Amino acid sequence: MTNKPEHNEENNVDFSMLLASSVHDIKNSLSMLLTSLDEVIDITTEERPEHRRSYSILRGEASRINNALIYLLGLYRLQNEQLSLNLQEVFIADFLEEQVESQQLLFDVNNIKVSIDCDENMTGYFDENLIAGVINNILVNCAKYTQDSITLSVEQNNQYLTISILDNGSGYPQGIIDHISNDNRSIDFNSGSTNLGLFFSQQIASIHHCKGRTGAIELSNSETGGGCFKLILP
Amino acid sequence: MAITKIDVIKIYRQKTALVIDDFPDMRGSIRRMLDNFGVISCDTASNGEEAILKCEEKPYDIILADYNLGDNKNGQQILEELRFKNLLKNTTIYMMITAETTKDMVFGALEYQPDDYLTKPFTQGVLGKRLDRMVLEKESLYEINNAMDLLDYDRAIELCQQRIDMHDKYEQRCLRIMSSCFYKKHKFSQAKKVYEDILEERELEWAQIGLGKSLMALNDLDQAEELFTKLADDGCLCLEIYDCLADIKTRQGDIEEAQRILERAIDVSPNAIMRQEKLAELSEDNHDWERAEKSRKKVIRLGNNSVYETPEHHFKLARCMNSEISDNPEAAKGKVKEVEEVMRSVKRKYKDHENVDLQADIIQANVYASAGHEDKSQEKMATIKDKMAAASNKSAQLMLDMAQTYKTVGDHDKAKEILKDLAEKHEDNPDISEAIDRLSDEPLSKLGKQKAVQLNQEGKELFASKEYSKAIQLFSQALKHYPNNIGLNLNLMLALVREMSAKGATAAQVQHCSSAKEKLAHIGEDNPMYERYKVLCDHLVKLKKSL
Repeated sequence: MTNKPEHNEENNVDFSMLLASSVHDIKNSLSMLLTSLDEVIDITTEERPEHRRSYSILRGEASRINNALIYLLGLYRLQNEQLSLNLQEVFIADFLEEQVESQQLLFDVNNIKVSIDCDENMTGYFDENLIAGVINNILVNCAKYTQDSITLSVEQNNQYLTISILDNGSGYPQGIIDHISNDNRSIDFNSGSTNLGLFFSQQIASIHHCKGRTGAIELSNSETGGGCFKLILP
Repeated sequence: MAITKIDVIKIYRQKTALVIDDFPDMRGSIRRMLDNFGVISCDTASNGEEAILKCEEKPYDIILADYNLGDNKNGQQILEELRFKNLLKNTTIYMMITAETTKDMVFGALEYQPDDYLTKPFTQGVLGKRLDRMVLEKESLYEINNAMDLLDYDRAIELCQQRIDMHDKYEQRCLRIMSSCFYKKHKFSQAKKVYEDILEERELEWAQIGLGKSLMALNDLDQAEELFTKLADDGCLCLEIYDCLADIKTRQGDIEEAQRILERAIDVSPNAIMRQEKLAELSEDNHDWERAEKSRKKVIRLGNNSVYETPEHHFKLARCMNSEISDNPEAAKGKVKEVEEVMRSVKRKYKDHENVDLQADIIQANVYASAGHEDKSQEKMATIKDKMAAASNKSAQLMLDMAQTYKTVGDHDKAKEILKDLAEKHEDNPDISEAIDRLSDEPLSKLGKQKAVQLNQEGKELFASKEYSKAIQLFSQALKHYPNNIGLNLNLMLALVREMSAKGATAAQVQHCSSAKEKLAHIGEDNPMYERYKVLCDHLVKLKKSL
């Protein structure tokens, strides 16, 4: 028998766990920060409307950080099999309105018109919080690339629910479209753009399943050039 | 159904709201948002106690509670206490505000889930949309929720069925309410049918839990167990499934497994007082005094200043420590001091409660006797006798404690006298009957006698077919409930002796047999079972030598 050095469990810091709990802490601070920011924006912009734009950038970036943290936490849980789906009946029109509302300031300052095309009574079954993360990510992304409009539409057929988010920007780069459609699940961290948000969306969609059907995402560009993101849920 | 902004403001004007948050800034900020929506009457609370007090004063239509309230009660515990005290109407909106997106904090039972979760950070617009949605839903389902508040479940079911037939927006909400009403009305097969129909379409957690509970009520334990086990494996965080699984195991007679299951749930959520108490009871049945003591202490800590607070929790802890001392006299020294402290504090805390003083003395006398402090025990006994004579309204529990103490000090006749008297007075109360038979040498209650006949019959059959190890298991299980029962202890000795004679003695079995023998040490020659006891003792001596 060989003598192995004693392994000290207590000093063995699990870095990913450390990261996850730090993210958690940061999110709490960020939450306070965003709430205060909203109030400051409310109060100041009444008197000085010209500040609205810079505040919106502040808020937009803080919101991006928040989203990125949500992905990190989500992916950490996914990896540790701690992420359990909370499937619920969701009223889709209400749900989408709420997601748009949460980024309203961003749309207002950039003069983007957002329209939702969804039947008032349509319902879907998914994890509201996780899918909210996905939709938010795409909305913020669209706000950056579109010229002046975003359209959300919902369709239900063959027991699948499809939420489409269309913008009139210059469309998704072909590389990303190919990447997603190749079902390549790894992220290329060397390419400069990590596409963490899309990776997260894909993961979240694929853990939704019902009676043998699985969720997915699709990217395409419309003939007029704008990008089209589709979230397909069973 | 188009409701305009003006309509919604009108609705908000009539609503009363309560905002619970420990940060003053956050309270103010949410309050201003509600004000902007049109809510005129809005109160705030900075912690759970304050929130519950306010709810006792007046009912609210909208409650917004932050989950994390520092070291105090969290938003979930406030919700549970409000439901428990019946302070929360079904027509009220309870919205939980959380810093986290997952439902990790949802540890309670299905019944104790809030109407909605809102994740921080949120803007006024988002809160507005969310609240509008909830307010409109509550308005639309008002009749149904109101019928539930009036406990008129038949009416609620009828109204739900009407809505379901209309296939409108709230069809599934109504199915969910209807199934829970069937369950509450004990119409379990109807509830089961609704859940099964829903699950046909989609695997929804709440429907699975509902189905499992209906199956349990219909006594289909195996299928219920399968369902709950699958839910647990899939990472369902509703801890009610562990309570159900533990209950199933208890009903199947496997109380050791039941204890282990509850321990798992307690690890996740140590602050659920009812579950801690259940775990303490199971641990005591399993004679796992250490675990029981831990849970009993936690119950007291959690119960402090709450609805659950009662002197009985302190007495239960002291009784548990008494059993620990009887089992392991070496632990006595520290434990006696602890019991003294617990009894002192219960006397102080409940000085106006009838008989608390007396009951504490009785238990303390018992503990002294168990620990071998005979002088102190006698001293206490003397004071007890006077107090006993002066006391009116002696509760069954008080008399049980008295009987237990008499037993420990060796006065078996006095103990038996009390127990016999109790058995007559509480013939129809299964809990008291069981407690009586737990303490007595032979079954005294009607129910205990029936149980004994049944056990003996099963034992006889096992002896006849020479299934001694099964017999050992049967009697050992039964002795967890009736540790002093002469017949059971004798039968256990007999089964062990037979098993060892057939297969050879082992140290563990000799030990097992000796502890049964010790339980019988007090029976005298006049006891009709004395002869059998003597014979078995002789066998045991021989088997010990053969080791």
